[in-house]
Amino acid sequence: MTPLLDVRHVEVSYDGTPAVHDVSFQMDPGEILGIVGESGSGKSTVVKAAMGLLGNSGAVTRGDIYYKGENVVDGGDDKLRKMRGPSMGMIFQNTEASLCPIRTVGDQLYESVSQHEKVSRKEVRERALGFFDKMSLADGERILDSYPFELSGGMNQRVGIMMAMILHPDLLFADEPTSALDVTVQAQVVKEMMEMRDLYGTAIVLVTHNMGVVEYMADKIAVMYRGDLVEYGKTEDIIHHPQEGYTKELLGAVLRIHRD
Amino acid sequence: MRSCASTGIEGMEKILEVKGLKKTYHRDKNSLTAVEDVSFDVGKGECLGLVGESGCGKSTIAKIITHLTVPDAGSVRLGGQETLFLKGKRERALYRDIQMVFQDPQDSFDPRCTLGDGIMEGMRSQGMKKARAKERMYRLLEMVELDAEMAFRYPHEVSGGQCQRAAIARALAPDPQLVICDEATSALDVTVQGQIIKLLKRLRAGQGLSMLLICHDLALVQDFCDRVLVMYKGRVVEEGTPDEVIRHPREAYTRKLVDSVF
Repeated sequence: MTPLLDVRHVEVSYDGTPAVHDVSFQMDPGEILGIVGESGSGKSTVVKAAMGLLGNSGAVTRGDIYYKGENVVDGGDDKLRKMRGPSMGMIFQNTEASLCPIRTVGDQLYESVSQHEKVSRKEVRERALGFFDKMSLADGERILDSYPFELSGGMNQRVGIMMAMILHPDLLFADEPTSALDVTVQAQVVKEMMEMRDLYGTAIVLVTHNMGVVEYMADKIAVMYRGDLVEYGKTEDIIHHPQEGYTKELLGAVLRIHRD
Repeated sequence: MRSCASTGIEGMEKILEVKGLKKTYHRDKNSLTAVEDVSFDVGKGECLGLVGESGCGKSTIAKIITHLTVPDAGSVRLGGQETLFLKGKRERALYRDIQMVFQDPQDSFDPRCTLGDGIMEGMRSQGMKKARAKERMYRLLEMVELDAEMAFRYPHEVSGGQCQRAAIARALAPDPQLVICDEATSALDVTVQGQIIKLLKRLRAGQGLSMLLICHDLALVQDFCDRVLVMYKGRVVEEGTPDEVIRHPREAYTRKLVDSVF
């Protein structure tokens, strides 16, 4: 079976300076991979490289990234644009900042969907409402008619998830999707993301600082440190039997609550 | 005395006594009651945790205690003295006696000043001579485990963890009676967070600091605090030792909060 995403010995440089060296991992359909590590360790860079979003100063300088057997690195902008959205979705830490402040959520959702499909506003609206229904959010109508600043942080993140998931991508990149949220809201959003995976079989690359969330969600974990992938394996192996010094330090620094 | 019975620190000398605080924010015709009838005490050498979701009133309480906003009702006593109506010299003394450590260390320093100047600024404005302030600044850097050379760096030239250490040094500079940490570790990497917590613990033990720790991380509260207040929609809904509150939450909201931790 061809892996869904195959990252092979990738090096990414910004303005000639390598930020990520020799990173390799594979993902199967429906798999959740957690990428953990401190700020500046290259977590987000790996995600950006896979989506072709490195910008002008960054480039994959060594290795290749294959998505469903096709090379993303040499793909060219047109091919990537067709992939991003219907095939690969993305959720950011602060959805509100990635939305336009002077247009309603529903309006922007229509704009995004109509880039990839020939649909009517009504159709998009109905699909969005159906989606909110699945997330058990009662007031979908109100959310679609709201401006981003009228919604809470948790609601905006759900809008981000909905906008990414409405095209049913096979792979979802989630860069700190719950870090800005209150713990109770975070718990709900995490559960909703798991339901999405079970419902649509979406593979998820989850970039986060929160070891608790990773342990709960991920099938595999990749630990990054200063641009290197220092440890990669099944979640229970990494959590219970970390091999590398940095992984041990990271796990040792996590405070856990003692319920009994 | 209701507040003594409810806080359960009878017999302990109290640094901070907060009673019946209420604060409503008004904008146009809308109003929002951010804090409603909040009372609590912080004992000498005690660390009190304040948890609850965004918008529950945690930071408003810190703002009232530090004179950044005026409450509609209530009383705040520091070392037995009412602070809400202090003016002039006495208000300036209050700014010395209560210190804060904020979430974003880089944002809390003047970007045009070196960390050393940032740490000394408070001491200088309280009238300390330059040579003495300098000497104390170096002692403080040592206390927070920073190299003396850090005094010459600018906030953007150091890491978040180093900058937060400098912010802690700045807070300790005037020998405050109370230190308020408002999400002081939440913007830091997990491993750096661990180091800062270790430092705060050491300082607490060494200096006998009284602290109010505002945070949303129950694990940190359980690790660090003597007592915890759980706030919800402007009110204190539960209080007790962290172990009591986490193991046997009485209120529905507290239970939800505990269950939400992964």
